[in-house]
Amino acid sequence: MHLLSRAEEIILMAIVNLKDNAYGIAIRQYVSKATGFKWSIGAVYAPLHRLEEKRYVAAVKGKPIKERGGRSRIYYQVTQEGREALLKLKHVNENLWKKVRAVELKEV
Amino acid sequence: MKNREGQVKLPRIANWILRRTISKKVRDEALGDFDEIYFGMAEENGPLQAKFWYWGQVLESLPSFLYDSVYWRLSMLKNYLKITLRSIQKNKIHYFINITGLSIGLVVFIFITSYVLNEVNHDGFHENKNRIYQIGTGWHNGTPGPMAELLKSQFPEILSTVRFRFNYGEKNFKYQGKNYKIERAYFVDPAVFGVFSFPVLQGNPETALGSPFSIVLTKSEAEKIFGNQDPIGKVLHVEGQDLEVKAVIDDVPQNSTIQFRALISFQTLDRISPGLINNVNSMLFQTYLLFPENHDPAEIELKLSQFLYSQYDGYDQWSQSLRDRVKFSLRVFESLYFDRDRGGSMIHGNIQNVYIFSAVALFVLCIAVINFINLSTATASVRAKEVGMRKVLGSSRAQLLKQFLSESVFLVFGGTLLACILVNLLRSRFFELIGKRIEFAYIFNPAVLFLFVVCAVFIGLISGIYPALYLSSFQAANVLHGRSQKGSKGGLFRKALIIVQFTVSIVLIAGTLMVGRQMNYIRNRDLGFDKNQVLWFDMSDSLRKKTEVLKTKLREHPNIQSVATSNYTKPGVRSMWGQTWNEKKMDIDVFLADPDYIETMGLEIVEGRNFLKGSDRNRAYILNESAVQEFGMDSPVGQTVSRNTIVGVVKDFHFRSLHHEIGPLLLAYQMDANPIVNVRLSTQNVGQVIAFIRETCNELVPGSPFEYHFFDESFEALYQRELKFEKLFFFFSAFAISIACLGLFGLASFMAEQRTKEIGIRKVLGASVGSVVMLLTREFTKWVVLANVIAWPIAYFAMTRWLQNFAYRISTEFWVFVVSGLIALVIALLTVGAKAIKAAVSNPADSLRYE
Repeated sequence: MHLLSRAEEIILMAIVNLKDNAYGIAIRQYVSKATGFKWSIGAVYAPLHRLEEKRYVAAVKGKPIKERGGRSRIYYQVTQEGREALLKLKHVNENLWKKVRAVELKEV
Repeated sequence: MKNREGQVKLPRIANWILRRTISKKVRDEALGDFDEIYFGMAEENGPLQAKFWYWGQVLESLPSFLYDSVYWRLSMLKNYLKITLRSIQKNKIHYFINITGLSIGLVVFIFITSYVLNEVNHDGFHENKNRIYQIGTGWHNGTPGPMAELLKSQFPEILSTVRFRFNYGEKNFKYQGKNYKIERAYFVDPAVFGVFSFPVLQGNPETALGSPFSIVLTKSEAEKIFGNQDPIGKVLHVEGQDLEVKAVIDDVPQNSTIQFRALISFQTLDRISPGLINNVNSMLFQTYLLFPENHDPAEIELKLSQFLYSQYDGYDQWSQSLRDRVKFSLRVFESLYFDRDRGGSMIHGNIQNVYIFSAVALFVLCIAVINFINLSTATASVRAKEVGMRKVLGSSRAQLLKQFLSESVFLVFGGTLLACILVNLLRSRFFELIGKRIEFAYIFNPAVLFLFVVCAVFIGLISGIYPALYLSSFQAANVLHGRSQKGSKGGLFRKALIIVQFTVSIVLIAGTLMVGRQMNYIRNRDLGFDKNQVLWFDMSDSLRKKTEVLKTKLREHPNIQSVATSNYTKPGVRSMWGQTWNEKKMDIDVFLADPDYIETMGLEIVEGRNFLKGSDRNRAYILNESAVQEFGMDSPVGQTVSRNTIVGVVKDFHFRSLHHEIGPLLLAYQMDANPIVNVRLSTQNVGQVIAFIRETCNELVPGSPFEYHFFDESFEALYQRELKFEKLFFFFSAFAISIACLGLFGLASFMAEQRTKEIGIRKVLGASVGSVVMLLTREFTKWVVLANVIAWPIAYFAMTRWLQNFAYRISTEFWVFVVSGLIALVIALLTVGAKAIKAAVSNPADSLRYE
């Protein structure tokens, strides 16, 4: 199977961490804070759209809100497949990191 | 910034951009986010800053959103491609027929288009082609030599003038003891390279033809004579003169109006025949004028022709007939290619052919597209379940439309690719067929290729739209229930398409038959003389002095029946003299011939006698019947025409092609100075006789070139254009009918499949194989018959037009149409019949198993 792209991975992790509050703006704030630079709204939605197509996240419609021009917020939840994909990615990452010694990166 | 209720408004343009770019799936959500942050910001930091933010964010997000929507669209396309490939796999034969038919059509289309483009782009390499003018005189457009100078001195706007002396035949060039024949070596003014844009490869174009006895060769001629040596400065020996090679130019492109292999400086002509250039009576030169960029063609033409008339009206050296004939005009160089009366030995296109073939190209493309539509629609029964299933699973009609449209675009692309491969493979065959090379650069350049892609998409959409509409219209409940879609409207449309296809095919078949019959008629018509077994060849000057010896020697061979000399080279070349009888003047074609000519050519004397050797001494004429009639003579023999006595009348014979009526002709007695030898052979040992003639010539004058031609071949050469036309017509109609049959086959198999159950039941109830075959073929027969009715008048009209090119022609007979209709019908029946028989002999137990 294909691995997730980095952007997809970050957003998927953000959704896991945000739990019940994972909607567009919150996700954007979260990833911006975590990565240290501003993400544009488009930069959030393109990977999010792909995640949704891959059925790694599911959308839940909230109540319509006036500030959003009468639109609802859409909250995302990670599906079982999404969790598995993330876990798999974690293993891959860990396997890779195991071989890389901190000394080589001059981090000590 | 705020509306009436005091609310903040969204920046309209930015919002509109967003709506256009975000893919549908996430549009609402993302827009919601934008709004939420925007309004929050407007509340906190004021609307202006919010607006700035909004715009900034839109611009920042745009690439991602665009990428997102393109990404999904492409993945959809990938999906469509997959579906297409799957259904190809399921239905190989059907798709094979469909794509093959389309690419055959496209191959024909590409070939014809390249031909037409090649014709239309003629002379494209001349930079000045729209400001070069030829002086037309109505007399093979020959002008006297001094005219160019006179005009130039009179009209300052003329930038430069070029005179050509075109002449027929080939010249014999000698280099280091070897002979080289060069066709089309013309005398020309030095300004030729300044006016026309023939690319000069070696040498200085400005000075190349500036001095007497200089010559410019084309690349291939230079290579032929000098091989790898540098040709510049080499000396060629021609007809007693030494010519120095001053420059080499690239070979003249095929679609150039002016064709030549070598150019000789004009001053050379003045040295060879002094006075010729300055003679106002010799209409030997073609004159071209170059005008500046911003000239007014109409005004110039008026001024020029007025001036010319005023100058030349007074010339009493001109014979009356010449003066009557000359009609001055100014013709732009661009237009000469398609002009019938261009004169000189220039090549030319045929605008009629360009029109006909453009029409055929469109026809063939139409047939191919119709076929494609037809076959795609015919898959309906196979695709119906798929459509039903998709609809049940929530596909909208728009989505299905998109799917089917992209499928047909894919198929068209496949067909185009195949067509391009085929074009490459068949290229040389096609060149052979039309008898010339075509620069495919016109087709295979980026701009045209881009157009091609656009065309492919367009054709794909055009041919896909109907099947897509038709297929996507199926009701899920009906098709999944097993009820077949009997769209009677669709059936009608399909029938109409088949009828159109066959109409085109029948027109083309009828055309092929008619052209073939006319050509046959031409070949077999009694020309009034016996053109078979007559051979002719040119004599060199030195051989000409020994004519009598040559004739006597040749006659000694047992297989040579007779030998005669004349000046009549080949049919199509004319020389005309003005002749007077009883104060009646007219221009007559003249052959100079010796007394043996009548016998050798197999002419028939109807009145009077043949020339008498010796006693007639250049004072005797023999007229043909048309000339006698034209003069209105009662008893021609003994009459005096232009101080010559008529000794006999010869029966009319075709001395020109059958395009023309037999005109008045006179044979004038000439014994010694004739350049052509005509030899009648018996049918045996032709090769040996030819060898004998060659030896005899060499014996008399060692090293004399001997090139012979058969008279019937020379005559056939007059119909080159028609022969080409015949071949092309044959191929196009073969293509058209095969494409139509492919379509018919596809349709027949589709129908047979649809009626499997019906056939099964009929057979169970006792129908015979014959009656089932009848049932299946009856309908197709009806369509083809209807197509005949439409095709006949079209073919009749078109062929009558074409036959008018000939003075002697077959009549348009009705049975030709019947036969072409029958041919189409038989081919159609064979195609359908194969499928019908297969359906008819099938075991009903198989087809009714599930009932």
